[in-house]
Amino acid sequence: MLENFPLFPEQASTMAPRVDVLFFFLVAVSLFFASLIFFLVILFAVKYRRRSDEEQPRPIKGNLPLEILWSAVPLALTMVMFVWGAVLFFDIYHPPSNALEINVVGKQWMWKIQHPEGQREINELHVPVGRPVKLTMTSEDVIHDFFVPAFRVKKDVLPGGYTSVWFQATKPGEYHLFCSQYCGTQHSGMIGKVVVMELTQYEDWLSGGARGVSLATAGERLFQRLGCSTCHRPDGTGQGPSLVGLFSRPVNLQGGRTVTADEGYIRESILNPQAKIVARYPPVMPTFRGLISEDGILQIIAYLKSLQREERSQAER
Amino acid sequence: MSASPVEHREHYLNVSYGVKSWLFTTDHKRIAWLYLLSVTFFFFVGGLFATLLRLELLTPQGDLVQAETYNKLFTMHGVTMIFFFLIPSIPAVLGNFLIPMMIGARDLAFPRLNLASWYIYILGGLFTLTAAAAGGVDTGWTFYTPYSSIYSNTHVALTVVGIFITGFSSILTGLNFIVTIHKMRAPGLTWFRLPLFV
Ligand code: HEC
Ligand SMILES: [Cu+2]
Repeated sequence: MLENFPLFPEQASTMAPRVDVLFFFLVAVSLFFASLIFFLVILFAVKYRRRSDEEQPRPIKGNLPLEILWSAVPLALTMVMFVWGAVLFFDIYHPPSNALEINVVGKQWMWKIQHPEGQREINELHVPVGRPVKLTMTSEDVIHDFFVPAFRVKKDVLPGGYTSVWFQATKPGEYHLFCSQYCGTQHSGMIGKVVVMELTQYEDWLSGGARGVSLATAGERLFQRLGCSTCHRPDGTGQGPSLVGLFSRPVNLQGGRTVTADEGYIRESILNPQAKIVARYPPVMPTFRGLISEDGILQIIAYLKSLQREERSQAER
Repeated sequence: MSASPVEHREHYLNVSYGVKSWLFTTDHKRIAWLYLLSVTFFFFVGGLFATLLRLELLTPQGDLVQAETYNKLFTMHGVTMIFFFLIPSIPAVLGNFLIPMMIGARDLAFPRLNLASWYIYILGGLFTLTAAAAGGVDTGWTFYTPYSSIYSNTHVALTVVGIFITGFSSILTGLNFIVTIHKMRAPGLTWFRLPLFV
């Protein structure tokens, strides 16, 4: 029934019908109560109008059951809205672990996309149908917002950190991509499209065209070129800790705190190394601010993630 | 029908006349009128910006204004409507007029401060209008950083100074109301008997 609701963008992700059902529920509840209140206002105005000059209204001393009723019913309804909304919010927030990971960098006024295999695109995002896709997003300048109406996903893209969003497309096709945070003169032109393809076509697309080296390989080269590898040796004999297997592992910091080594932590370690010092290591790592681009940081993160996989597959052997 | 002789009753409108009697008034109802006139003025300024926006949107091309001007127009529409119309409208106009009457007070606790609030508001408005006349701002009324701090080369500072100044007007009016409502209610008007508006 909700599939082709007029005035609504089409539903093209697993999340879209769920968001819409919640939305329609909210609209229905609001409509019901708005009509009820309007109806009662008019009814009471007519029913209790003053019929003669002598008429005096009887004083009202309160009505406890009625007060309890009109507090409890809205409370119950808003709790339903809250729990329903929160469950959906968490599902939208937590990508499945098998998601395909793609990087998005927003800048005035375009979207730059990096695929793990090395493809780069601008204002276009190719994804396979029926697979969860997780986007790790950051901005080179101001706040942008990644919005695909047909997927019902929308997330701010911030400079200085990562945000992420995930979706699973359900229908091949082309869908609008908008920047929905005003970001300067050409903001309205910061648009693109998401191209959803059948898996086989997507694989053809991945292998065709001008593809560079994979993200992880690009990251490895950068890791050598910037001299990270002199301090961070795989066996841990350098000045810094070995970064093999670091990603998503808990790290003990100086001062006793523990953090998880996620994308944001690695980014911070590169740009602002003094912010969090690994326990038992000297704070000697220089900052690489200005020496490395947002794209480059994402490549290094991809490289560090790949070190992880190699280590695991070796352990399995 | 014979005209019945009208009794001459003195009230806040006829107690004195002339521009000076209005600009130096400390009467809460007169100050409410000052606010009413000035928020209406700003409402029309904001409305003018909005009209230009809608005119531009008649066609998809940028034929009346280009993107840059369009962005300035909706920013200044937002700034004027939010900070110089919406925020002062209910508290400063209706609040000034009604609160003393609703609680049985002769005036606000600090009548001269009340007049000062209006002048501060006008001063802030002048700063922001100057910024608009000098070329405007294009950050959106929310002034999100870092766009408003590093990336915009329009008159952000001047506009924000105006809004900042006007903020003090709201603060002082609020302070005035709080003291009035706490200290000047008519005997027997307990907290639970206050009208909903207060
Ligand atoms: C001068 C040697 C040196 C260089 C060059 C260096 N680092 Fe480091 N790095 C360290 C040290 C020492 C630490 C541990 C202390 C700390 O946290 O600052 C560290 C910590 C780290 C951490 C956190 C590790 C953990 O176990 O939590 C990351 C990630 C990292 N560096 C990445 C890099 C990258 C990427 C580069 C190259 C762009 C680089 N480093 C270059 C010395 C270096
Ligand atoms: Cu943008």
